[in-house]
Order: sequence, then structure tokens, then C-alpha cells
Amino acid sequence: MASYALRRLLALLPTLVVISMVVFGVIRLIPGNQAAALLGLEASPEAMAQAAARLGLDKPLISQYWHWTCGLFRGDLGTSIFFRDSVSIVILEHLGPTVSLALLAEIFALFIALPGGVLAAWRRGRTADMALRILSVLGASVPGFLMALFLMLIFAVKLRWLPVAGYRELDQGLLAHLRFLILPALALGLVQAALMLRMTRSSLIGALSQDPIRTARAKGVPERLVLWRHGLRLGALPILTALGQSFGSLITGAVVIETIFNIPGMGQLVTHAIIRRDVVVVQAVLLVLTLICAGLNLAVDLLYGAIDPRVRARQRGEAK
Amino acid sequence: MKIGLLRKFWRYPSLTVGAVIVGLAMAAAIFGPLVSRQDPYGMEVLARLSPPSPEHFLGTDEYGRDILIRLLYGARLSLGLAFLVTFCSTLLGLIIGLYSASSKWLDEVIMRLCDGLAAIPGILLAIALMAALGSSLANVTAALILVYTPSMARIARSSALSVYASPFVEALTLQGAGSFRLLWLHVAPNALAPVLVQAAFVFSESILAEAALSFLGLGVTPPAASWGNMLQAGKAVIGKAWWLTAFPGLSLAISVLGLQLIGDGLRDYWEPTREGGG
Repeated sequence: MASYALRRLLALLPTLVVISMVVFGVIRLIPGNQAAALLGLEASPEAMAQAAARLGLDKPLISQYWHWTCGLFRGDLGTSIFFRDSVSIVILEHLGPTVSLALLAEIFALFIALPGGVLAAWRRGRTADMALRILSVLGASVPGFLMALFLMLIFAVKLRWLPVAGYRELDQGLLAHLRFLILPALALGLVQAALMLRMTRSSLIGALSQDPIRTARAKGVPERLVLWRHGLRLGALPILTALGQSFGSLITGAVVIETIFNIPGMGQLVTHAIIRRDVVVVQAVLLVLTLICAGLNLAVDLLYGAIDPRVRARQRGEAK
Repeated sequence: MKIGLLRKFWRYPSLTVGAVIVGLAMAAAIFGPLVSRQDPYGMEVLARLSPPSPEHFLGTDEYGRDILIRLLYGARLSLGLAFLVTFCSTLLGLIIGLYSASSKWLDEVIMRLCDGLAAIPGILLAIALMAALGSSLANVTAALILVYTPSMARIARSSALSVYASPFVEALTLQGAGSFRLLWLHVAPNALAPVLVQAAFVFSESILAEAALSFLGLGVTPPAASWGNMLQAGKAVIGKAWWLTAFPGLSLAISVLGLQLIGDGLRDYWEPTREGGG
């Protein structure tokens, strides 16, 4: 297992290098240069040159990249033009609400997708299955931010059950925290629920035709256990992949949803940073969220072995 | 022949329904503005934010502009842009993927690049690119092409690799077919199916991405109408004018639904064994 993990990490290296180059490159795309973005167009040429020298813009591109990458290893993501503070600190302050939102959305998605997928697979071809499949196709075509607007219109504006927008920290009470997060999390989670429901259904249908299931049924294991324990375990790999990918999409989807519900997370940080032309922050958010997604995918890969004994055996075979 | 074709459509309901939806949306985008002749920028100050009525079927916006006509012009922009993005990223992805599959060392370099690019969440990369480039129609298009090409290239590559492994390619090579001829005349047509399935999804995703970017104020800038910036305008008055949000939202969702159905349908058509059916 350890050697498999090491090999997966090594395979990730070139990807990380490309990611870092792209993220570094984004900031160079700004018309004019970063110093102009920092000081505004009215700045004198001397001030501009001074700022450029301070930012290291007068050095060759490759040494700028080297400097920036070395900074990353020290946890230094640069200095925000607007906050005049370390970007790492600014990001840490905004990460909480986004993670909270994505987690709650994932919980919603799981609670809808797993029972729904199991039901659809169990009643395959019957009315319940057809209804769930149609619902999941419909659900997958409504983007999160649209769902957010519709939910806001119904539950906050018309019915007034939940707050329209805003955010409460977790330490102001769990209930208040959740009250403000329910609508955005639901908006985010429903789309993922639809995608995961389809994945659960098809991988469970695939699993139910395999030998271990026939054995379990022959032994007289109750159908409920066959579905939930044996079936889900056999069909877990695609579901788990979908779960890992969904958390990535949730984190990025949160970026748009947060601006709708006025939640002070990474999304709000990046949209405000764009308005303030604070490109260092935009760059850092891009990097941090990408790394979170890459890390999640890696974690899912590693979990495979823990869940499916066949994968573990294959990994051992590869290692020899 | 005609009956056979009809039956074929009947056997793939999602493909048929999807094609009808997308066909209607495209027709509305192309012909709608021609039929109505109303001005999408024409303001009626006295009729600001008026609800749906016989004069304005879908109501008016905060400047008293007719929502229906703006939706039709928005469809041109949103669907047109998404189509352009899909066409370019499919073509580029196909070229990159095919050449990557045909050469070992090129493959290593290109696929590592694609892995890296594909690891960056699409909408975030688009947001960052738009933040750096500034919002304009050309920039949105370029940013989205960059976002969707890597995944397309990866799919084209793996599809081409499986074609290269088949005996008929070996036979052609032994007969002395040139590599260019082999690639474009024999491998490309046989590798196309998964690429086209992906193209349907890229089409729907780029509609969504344009809408999300414009919604954040990073995409198509007003006064030009796109579904995304209409939604953005609607958000500010969502409490008193639901029609500003509902109709662009529905148009968006229905178009995306149609494209998803086409994508699912094409996949069932080409790989009938994959999903296990209903």
C-alpha cells in the first residue's frame, strides 16, 4: 500500500509542475504588467519601475517562476495588492465558509443519491426507476447558480422560511450556521446528487450481476443486505470516484453560489479580488482550490485499495 | 428506408427528444430576431419591470426592455458562443489527440500537459483567465476553448490508441499506407464516436460556463444580452420581478437538458452495452 501511494504521488509530480506553470502564467497575461495593475495608470514611470523591481518583474521569467515556486514551498503565496497582507493568511480566513458549504452540500447529495440510486437499481425498469432517471436528468441540467436563484425565490423571498443571504460563523451557534447554509448547500448539492444517483444506479446494476452477489443470495442473505452491503461494496469504485470528483465540483461551484448568497468564502474573495484587480489573490485562489481538488482525487485513488480487496491484490501484484 | 429511420429514432428516445429541443432552441436563436423585428435595446421607461402581459409576453426588465426579444438575442449569443467553443475545442482536441496517439515521445509531453490543465477546475481557470484578460466576447471564447481542449484531446487520444491497436491498421501499415493518410483517412473516422459524445457535453458545459461567467460579470458585458448577464440583472430585483430570473433560467436549463440528452443518446447509440439500459 505504501509503495502504491508513493508511486501515485510521483505520478502526480508532472501534473503539479504543469499546474504551477499555468497558474504562474495567468498573472503574466494581464495587459501591461502587474506594477501598472498595482499602482494604477497614473503612476509615474519611476514609481512603476520601483514597484516592478520590488516585485521582481525586471528579472527574467524563469527566475521569477523559480522565486515564486520556492515561495510556495514556504507557504508564501505572495502579498495581496489590496489587503497589503500575506495572501496565505487572507485565504485561510476565507477557506472556512467554502469548505463548510461544500461539506453540507456533499451530505445533501449523498443522502439523496445513495438511497435513490439503490432504489433505482433495485426497481430497474419499473416506474420508480424511470421516475428517478428522469428526475436525475432534469436535475443535472439545472446549474447550481440557477438552482440557487430558484430556491432563493421560493424559500427565502416568497415563503420567508430561510434567510435570503448572509452567513454566520460556526461559533455563533450550529443552528444559525446551518440556517444560512441550507439553501446554498441544497442548490449546490442537488446537481451533484443527480450525477451521483446515475452513477450509483449503473454501478450497482453492474455489481448485482456478479458472482459474489449470486453466492450471497444463494446463502439466503436478505435482499436489503445484498443491496446495501454486498452490492454497494462491489460497486463502490465508480461511486467513490464520483464522490471525489463531486467534492471538487462542489468547491468550485461554491465560488459562484457564494456570490449569490453573500457568503464570505473563497468565491467572494476571488470575485472581489477581480474587481480590485488584485491578481495575486486570484492566482492564489486558483492554485489552492486546484490543489485541494488534486489532493481529493489522490485520496480517492488511495481509498480504492482500502475498500476493494481486488484492487489491493492488483496493487500488490504491480509492486512485485 | 424512411420507416427504418423513424424506428431508429424511436429506439433512442433521449437522442430524439434532445435533438428536437436543441433544434428548436437553435431555430429560435437564428429566426426569432428576424421574425419579431423588435429592438432588444429599446427601452420603455414607463413599462419598467412590468410582469408578463399581452404586450410583453415575458415581461420587461429594469430598463423596460422586452424580455422575450432579449432572450432570443441572448440565445444567439449564448448558443453561438458555445457552438464556436465546442467546434474549436473539438477540432483542436482531435488534432492534438490524434497526433499524440501516433507518436510515443509526443504523447508523453502532450498528455502530461493535458493532465495538468485538466486538473485545474474548468470554471476557475476560466474565471482567472477572464480576470487577467478582461471581459470581452473574444476573451470568453478563447478562455473556454483553452479550458475544454485538454479533456477533448485526452478522449480523442485514447480512442485513437484503441483504433491503432486494431488489425486493420496493421494491415494498412504493412500495405505501406503513409502516416498522414493512415491518421486522417482511417484512424480519425473510427475514433470519432467518443469525441462527438464529448462534444455534446462540452456544448452544454460551455453554455453553463458562459452563463456563470457573465453572471459574475466576467463574461459578456451589458448592454448586449446573454442569458448569463440577464440572470445577473434579474438577481438584483429577484424579490419583485421573478420573470427576470425565471425565463432566462428556464431557457438555459432546457437547452442544457437537450444537449445532455443528445450526449446520453449518442453514447447509447454507439455503445449500447455500456449503461445497461432501462
